[in-house]
Amino acid sequence: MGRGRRRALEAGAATLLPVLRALLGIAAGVLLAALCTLVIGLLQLGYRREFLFLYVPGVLVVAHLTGLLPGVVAALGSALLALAFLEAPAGQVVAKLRADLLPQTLYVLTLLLVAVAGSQYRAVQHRLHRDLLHARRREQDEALLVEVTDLLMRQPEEAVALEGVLRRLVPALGEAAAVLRGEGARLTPGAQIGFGLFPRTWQALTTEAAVVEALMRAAGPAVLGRGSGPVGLGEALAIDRAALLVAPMRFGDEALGALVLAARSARAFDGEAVRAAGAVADRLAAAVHRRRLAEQRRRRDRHTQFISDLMVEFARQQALPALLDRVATRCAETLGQWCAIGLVDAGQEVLRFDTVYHPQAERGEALRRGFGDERLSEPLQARRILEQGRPVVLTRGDLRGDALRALLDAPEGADDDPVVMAVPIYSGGRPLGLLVVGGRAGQRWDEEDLRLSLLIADRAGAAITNARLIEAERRARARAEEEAHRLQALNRIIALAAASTDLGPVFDEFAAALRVLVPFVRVTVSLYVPERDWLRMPYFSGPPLTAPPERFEGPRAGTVRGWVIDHGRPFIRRDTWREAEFAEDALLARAGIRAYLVLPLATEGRVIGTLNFGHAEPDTYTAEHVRLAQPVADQLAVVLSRRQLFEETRRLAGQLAETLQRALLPADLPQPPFTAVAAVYRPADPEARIGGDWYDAFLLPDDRLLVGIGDVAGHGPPAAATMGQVRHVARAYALEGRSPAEILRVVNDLLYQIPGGLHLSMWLALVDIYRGELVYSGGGHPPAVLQTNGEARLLHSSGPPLGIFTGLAYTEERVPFPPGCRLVAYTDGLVEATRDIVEGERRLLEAMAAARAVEPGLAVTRLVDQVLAGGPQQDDLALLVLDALPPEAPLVFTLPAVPENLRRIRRAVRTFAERVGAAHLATPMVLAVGEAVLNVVEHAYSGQPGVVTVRGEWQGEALTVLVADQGQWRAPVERGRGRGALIMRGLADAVVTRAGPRGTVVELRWQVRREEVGT
Amino acid sequence: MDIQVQVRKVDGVPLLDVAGELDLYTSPKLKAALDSLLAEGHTRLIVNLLETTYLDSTALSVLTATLKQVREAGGNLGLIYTQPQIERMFTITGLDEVFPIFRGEADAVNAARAWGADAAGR
Repeated sequence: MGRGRRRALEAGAATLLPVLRALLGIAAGVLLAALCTLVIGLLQLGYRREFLFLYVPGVLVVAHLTGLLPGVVAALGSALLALAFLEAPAGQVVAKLRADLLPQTLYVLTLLLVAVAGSQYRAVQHRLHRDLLHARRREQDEALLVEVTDLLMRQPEEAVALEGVLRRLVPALGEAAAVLRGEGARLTPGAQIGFGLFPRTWQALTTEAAVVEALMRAAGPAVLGRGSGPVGLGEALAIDRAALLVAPMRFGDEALGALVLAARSARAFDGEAVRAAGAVADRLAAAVHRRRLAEQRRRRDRHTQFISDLMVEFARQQALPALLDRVATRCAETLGQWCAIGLVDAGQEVLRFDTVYHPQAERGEALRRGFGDERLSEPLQARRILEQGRPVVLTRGDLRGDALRALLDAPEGADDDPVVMAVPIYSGGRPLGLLVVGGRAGQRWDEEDLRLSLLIADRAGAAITNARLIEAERRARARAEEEAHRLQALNRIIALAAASTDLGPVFDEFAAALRVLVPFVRVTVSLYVPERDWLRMPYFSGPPLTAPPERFEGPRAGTVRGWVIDHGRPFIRRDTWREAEFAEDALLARAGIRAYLVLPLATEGRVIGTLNFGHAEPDTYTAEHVRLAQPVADQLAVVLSRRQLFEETRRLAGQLAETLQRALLPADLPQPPFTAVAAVYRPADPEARIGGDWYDAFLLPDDRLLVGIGDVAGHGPPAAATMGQVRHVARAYALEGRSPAEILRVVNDLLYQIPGGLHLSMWLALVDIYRGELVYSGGGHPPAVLQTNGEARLLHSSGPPLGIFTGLAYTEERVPFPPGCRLVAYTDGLVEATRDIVEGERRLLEAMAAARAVEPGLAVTRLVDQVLAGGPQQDDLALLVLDALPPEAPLVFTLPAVPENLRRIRRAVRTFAERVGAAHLATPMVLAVGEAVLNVVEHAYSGQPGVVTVRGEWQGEALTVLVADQGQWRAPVERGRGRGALIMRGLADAVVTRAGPRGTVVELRWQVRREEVGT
Repeated sequence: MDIQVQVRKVDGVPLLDVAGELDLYTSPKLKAALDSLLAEGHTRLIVNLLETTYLDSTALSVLTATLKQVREAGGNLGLIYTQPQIERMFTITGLDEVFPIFRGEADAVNAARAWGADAAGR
């Protein structure tokens, strides 16, 4: 039989049955009444009212069995039949009835009551039964509920719990059960059991929008079936001929879902079932809500933890890129699949997505590229989202552009699938950027996710701002450090410049330090020489410009350096290939220097030079370089000017020293006749060029030679000044004719008087070369050495150093000093070099012996060198060597060409003639030489000082005397002076005059026959 | 200075005794003495060179200059010397022909009386 027909049949049966039952009951009632009547009739009992009670059991049974209506029919019918058949004929019935109305009615009523009672009894029984059933049901339901509750409470896994619950419901409450979970506006199937019996119903339940809507809106549990429920719904659901009991799972106002039970017949869903379903649904709702709450709480806790973890990471990551990476990664992990963070750049124009994270590298790369060329932010409408300031979930349909869609992980899907969540990042009310999260397949973001994303954005905003601040601070600090470094380099440069006595050796280092401030290929310093309007270049560093290297020294005019010096301002040349107005430009351009910077070296209002930087790249130098390098130039100017001053001072001091020295130490010792004198002086400090030692050789008018040597305690100008005074005093007293001892006495007293307590040692001698003797005295001084043939004699002197005691008398001694002797006087600086005076003296005597044959000029050097070979010089030293020339030595002397010396020369010539055994020629020689010398004195030097040199010697058999000068010869044209030539020619055998631009030599010659030579 | 010039009058004739060396350095002293005598108006002068150990052309010039002056004034300048070297000097220069030369003071003084009267009288 087809389903439809059967259903129809069933439906038909469902309505017919109670009617049939009722008719059946009536028929049974009537039958029973008839039966009883029959029995009574047969028994010939006759009608008695009480016989109505015979019908009571029958009526009771009928009413009980078939319901009230049949019972009533049975009661009335029985009464009627009894009356009718048992009593009287019909016509009398009514009269009978009227006659016994009351008891008849009573009897009938009693029957009716019995019917009612019978039926009620049944109903009560029914009800009782039903109540029992209900109670049992309720018990069952309670038990069910308890179980369900227990299950829901105990079972941690929701899916398992639900399934367990459903298993309990089936088949207790229905044949199939399912829980539909509400997710927002949708219901998604949770667990289900038994809907395999009603597949199409299930499909309708889960996909038909109308169904879902209805389910969502249901106020309470309801049975849906054909004809019941919302229009059409029943139709939709009745496909499988299922009746549905739908109980919404509501917690408070929130629709959490629905519990759906299905059965083949709606009768399975009675009130109890509905109630039970409702209760179960409530439990389920509560459980779901609880779980959801717990889940939410857990999620919230997780999120809070997430946030605090994120904060920790923020605290750890100071660098912005790393920070953003962490945020992106964690967001991707927690909120979706991938995450990109874009920051608004400084100009607030562009959103740059520099941070992209995707767990799959190549997809991440694709995203990065997509965001990088801003193909994505446009379709993302990022700016709009940013301006709105609220997180936005974009669905697939919202995304315009295939580019973005192509990047989504689930390219296929409904247009209203959420795919991307964009959260603006704000800080301090200003938009910083956008956090974009791409969802996993099927991802749905709920309130909690949005809340989390907002929190993340908020924290991230603060962290980004913080990181930026830190970055800014770091950059500022780096700048400050760089400035400090530069300042340090600057100071180092300046200290270098200031510390060096000469910038030259350290200039390369100086240049290297300068490189920190200013780039250059070549750096030079030019100094201005005002006297010549000239530029020097004393310092330079870097490869030379041309070969051979040019140093840019030359006139100031037309040069850029000259311009800078004139204007006192720096000059920047951007490109020598393009601009050339100064002298250096062409040369620099050729040499490859295209850009240069010239800074003035200015100090105390003067510009003393320039500091020049050159570079091969054009447009290298800017005002910033000027700012950095000008302080260096200023300091350099100070250093250089100080150095100039220092050098000037040194030069002056040196000049002064030289002047002093020349004043104090005779540069040219007198070379009197028959004498050779040489001396050497070496100060301990060669820089000072001046010390406390002193020597002198002074020719007195009587041809005696004052020879002295001394050693002041101390060095430098004060000592030298003292020695100068001493020298002049000695000379003065010697000129007065005082003897050495007296001179010492005077000097001693003089020194004693001088405040400051200088004392000195001194050795003094008056050498009479004509007499061949010397007188000497000394105080506190090492003995001079007298070398005669083969022996050396120390000329000791007693007496303390001068200036310590007053009123001393010094002793003197006279010793022979014949021709061929040598006198060596020295200061103790010579012999103390070896730190052992005895050793020093020994070395000196050794050296003297070795140098005996060497003329004094060479001897002094040899002696010093040989003695000092024993040890370095510690103190000033002076050494004087005086030779009394041997008789056979030529007469050679040089004297100033002054009238006073005419007499000396005459004496010398005479002595010479006598010495060489030509005494008879003495007079003419003297006269002739006298005239020759007279000529020199009068005419050779035009009033300027000059010297005359006389040299007399044997030349073969002739005695010659040369008289030489260095002057410009003037012809002796004066009247009377021609006599000189006359006299010379008259007195000498030959007179030869050789005049030249550098001097004149007059040679006088006397032929001497050897026999005439006496002894 | 290695020279001494002393002036004495013998019979009204100034006589200069020159002792020492007459050279460029010392001749000015002689010249000064002669000049002062000239300034006094003497025209008859005698220079005694017997103690003179040296004489050079400077001295000769001084003497010749004075000689010229006194000659122009009608006077004369006589010299006394005997030393060979002095003689040599005058001989070579030919001045021995120019000056009246005497061997001794007496001769010189006697001859000087004959020279022109001087402005100083006597």
